[in-house]
Amino acid sequence: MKCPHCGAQIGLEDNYCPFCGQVNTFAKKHQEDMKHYQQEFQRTQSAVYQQTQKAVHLTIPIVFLLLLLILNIAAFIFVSNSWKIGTSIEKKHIHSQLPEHQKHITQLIENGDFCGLSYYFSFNSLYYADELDTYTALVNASDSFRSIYELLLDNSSYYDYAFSDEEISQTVSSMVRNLDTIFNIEREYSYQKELYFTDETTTALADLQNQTKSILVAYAGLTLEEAASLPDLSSKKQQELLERRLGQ
Amino acid sequence: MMQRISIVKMISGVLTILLTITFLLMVITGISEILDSFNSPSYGLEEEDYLSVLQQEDYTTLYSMTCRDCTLDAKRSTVIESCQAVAHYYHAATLYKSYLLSQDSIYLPRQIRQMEQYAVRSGTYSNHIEKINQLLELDPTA
Repeated sequence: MKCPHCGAQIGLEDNYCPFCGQVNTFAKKHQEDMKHYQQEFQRTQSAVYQQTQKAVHLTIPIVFLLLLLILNIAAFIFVSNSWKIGTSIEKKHIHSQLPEHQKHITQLIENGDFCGLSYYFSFNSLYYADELDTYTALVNASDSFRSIYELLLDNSSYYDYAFSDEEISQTVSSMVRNLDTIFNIEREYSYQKELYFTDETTTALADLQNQTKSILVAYAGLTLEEAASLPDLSSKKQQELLERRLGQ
Repeated sequence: MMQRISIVKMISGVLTILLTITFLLMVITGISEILDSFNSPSYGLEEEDYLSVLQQEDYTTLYSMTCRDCTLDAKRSTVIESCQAVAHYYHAATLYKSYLLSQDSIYLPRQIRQMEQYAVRSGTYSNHIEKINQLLELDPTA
């Protein structure tokens, strides 16, 4: 630019003309403008910063909440299906050991160890295995036998505890229910006899029923005749007979 | 404006805590349900458990313990196997007595065979075989 006083070439930043020494009025205006623009810039910059910070402050918790919401939905689906997941893992585990389980079951049946069979099914969760459904009725009867066996053996062998009439009555009621299961198991599973009563399980059930009568003779004090006729008696008569024998 | 932000922050904080708690509760419930669905394999008995019951000569409990401890994956020591043999002997002997008193000769040989097998396996604890025989008033020589 040119000095308005002497016309010499001067710069915009020169406050005075280096040739005539007069004040450069353009420079002063320029500096004031620059100062104004700078202030304007700083104001805008801080406003932008504030806006951004506000957005960040709101966005982070919202995103976090959304994430938690999604995790909660996933967890809900997981909980709803957890039983299915568990049983499916268990079924796979059982399936991988199926031949060994089958071998054990056959051995228990051959040994007439029906308490063992009941425990074996229960503690290996074998009721999950569709392949072993054929043993369901036998295992159900074995569970009942187990209750009777443990009850009679516990009372007869070790404890000199004298049972009250009420206790005997309650115990016998449960025993009568179990006897009903053992001797009328075919009625309970009559809807699918072919599945539950194969040659193997039918023979085993006969063994189990015979075993039940035998332990009642040995540990409940029934006579041979009473034990033989027990399945044909009504529940009430069974209750009376067993109460009488166990009370003795 | 700042006040509004702090209210939003407070609400989001409370929601975060609530959602975290429900998330953790649901995960714990899910895992426990999965574990519940195959509860039995975790059942494990130590030598001390068997020996304690054997010492008390509580053979019915010993037998039920033995039957419970039946998972295929479990590894058992010689002591446990001997205790289990005593338990099985007791069970076989109780049934032997039952058949004997019921005059049922069909199943007697089976019970005798089992009693002989388990008596051999009882090892260090074979003295309990005699105790069981006495308890059940059995005469093995008969």
